[in-house]
Amino acid sequence: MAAAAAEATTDGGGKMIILISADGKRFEVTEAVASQSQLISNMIEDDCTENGVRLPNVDGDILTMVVDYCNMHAGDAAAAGDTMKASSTEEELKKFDAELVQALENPVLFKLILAANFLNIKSLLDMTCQRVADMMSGKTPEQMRETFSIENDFTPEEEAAIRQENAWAFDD
Amino acid sequence: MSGRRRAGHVFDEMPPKKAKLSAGDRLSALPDALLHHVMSFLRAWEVARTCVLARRWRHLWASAPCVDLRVWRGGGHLPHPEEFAKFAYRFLLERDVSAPVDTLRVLSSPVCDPEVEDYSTCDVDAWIRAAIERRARVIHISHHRKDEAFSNFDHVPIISCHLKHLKLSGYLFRQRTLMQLSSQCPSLEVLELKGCYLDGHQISSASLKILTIVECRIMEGFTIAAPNLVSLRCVTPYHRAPLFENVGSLTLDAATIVLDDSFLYAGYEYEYEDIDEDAIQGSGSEGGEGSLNDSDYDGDAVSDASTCEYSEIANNYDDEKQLVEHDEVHNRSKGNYHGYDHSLSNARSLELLADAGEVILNRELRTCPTFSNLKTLSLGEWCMGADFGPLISFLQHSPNLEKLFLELKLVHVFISVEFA
Repeated sequence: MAAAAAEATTDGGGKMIILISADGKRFEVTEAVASQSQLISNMIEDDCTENGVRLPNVDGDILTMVVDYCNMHAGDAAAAGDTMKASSTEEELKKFDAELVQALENPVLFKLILAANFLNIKSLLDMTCQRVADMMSGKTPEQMRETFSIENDFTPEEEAAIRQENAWAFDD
Repeated sequence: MSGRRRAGHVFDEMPPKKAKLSAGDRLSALPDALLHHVMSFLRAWEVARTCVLARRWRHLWASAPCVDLRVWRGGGHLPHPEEFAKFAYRFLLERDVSAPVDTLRVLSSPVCDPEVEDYSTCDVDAWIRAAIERRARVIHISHHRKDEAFSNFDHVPIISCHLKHLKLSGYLFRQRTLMQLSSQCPSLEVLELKGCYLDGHQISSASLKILTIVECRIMEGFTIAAPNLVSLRCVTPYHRAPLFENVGSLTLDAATIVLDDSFLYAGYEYEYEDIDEDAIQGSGSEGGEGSLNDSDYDGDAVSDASTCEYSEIANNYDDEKQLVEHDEVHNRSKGNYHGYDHSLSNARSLELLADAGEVILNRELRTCPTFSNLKTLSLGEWCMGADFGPLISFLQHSPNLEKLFLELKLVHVFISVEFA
């Protein structure tokens, strides 16, 4: 798993790899940092990162955030098989994550979700999906539509029929 | 490797390029799998109501793999429907039959306040059975904070070749259920128990990889056999500590044992006084009794876990550590700890935390094996006893140690002295 990959790189002296965004921005990161992405971790295992890793689905500004996130969490992954973690860094991480996720607004949030999914970074995917869920939680369908600009493409009759059919799900 | 397969899978799930959605609606543009992932952080009644949002959402809820029926006010969730048992029944009934319930999250039933939370233990049992029938991989049952009794699986056979992860608090395990977990759940890899009562003599599982036992009441002679275990956490066992038999003899990566001797007899000492030949009796101690109930772990179990699913155990563990550190009286212990060290001798990371005067670990150390894989070691106050005997012993028997952590109360003492 990630821990094994991270360890291999530490033993190998922390090799660097280049990530290249859709718009051609280049990011140099250690293998330990990059291998938090399961996708890249697999590529590292298969030895095909030599000429840089092109990520045609991820824009530079989003990749900047992903790399920041991975840099911040790199120690975390290295210690995954390890029970020791300095509590101060753990707190810093929590704070970092909370601030990152709170700052995310509509278009960027969804781009980040797609990037996390594409790169297969589970913790980032969970965190961003949780943020969307928090934005949906406690809202009526009308409020959800408003929050996410969801266009109601049902006719009023259709909607009434669905509500009727699923009355068990609606208290009112 | 499973990771590899999933990476390929991800490509297939890139969002469909459909022009029908409104331009600003990036949520609906996500692929089904990601919307389902978002739904996994919502309660079932919130998920069900998405059916009226738009056509895109009409049937999505019915195949959402996570069913979260935790009735808990707060956490920003919509209040649960009245007549909750009826709602849950319809929800499970109206779901897409072919879609597995991958994950079930429930709260055990409350014993009081039937007006507010209108469901019973029978309902909870029925939901668990339904989830097992629908190939559940993950079942997570939190103990309701208003339920003082242990729940049990007397009416739910835990027999499943899909069940991989079972996380429970406040459950009583009789031998029958332990047997089912042992031999009839061949995929069970993660077992997390908190505040449970292990009233049997053995759990033995070849598939188990991660075992976490926090604040569980354990019967005398209870044995854990898990040859493929990778991670073991045993934090503050009550009454007796478990015996380990063939635990991760080749696979064990990390082990954490946090002992608080004062919990290791709690009211049972007379009953078992003469039975246990290995008992070691130290000097007197107070407290311990009643501690089963006064800690606030129940509140935590009910707290909205949707935000901290996997960190919960870690958080508890931190609490525990404090509990260990702040409890001053730790001189009496009884129990069988045979082979703690031997079972753990292959661990790469080992955390043995206990307060000064700890008896069991000291005794075990006399037969100290070589910890040839050990790279990270963390020891509590107890290692300073007898002129640092335990610490020296560990260092002598750990040829490959890279990191040593000493978690001592001394730090606090030192600070208070300096400022006094």
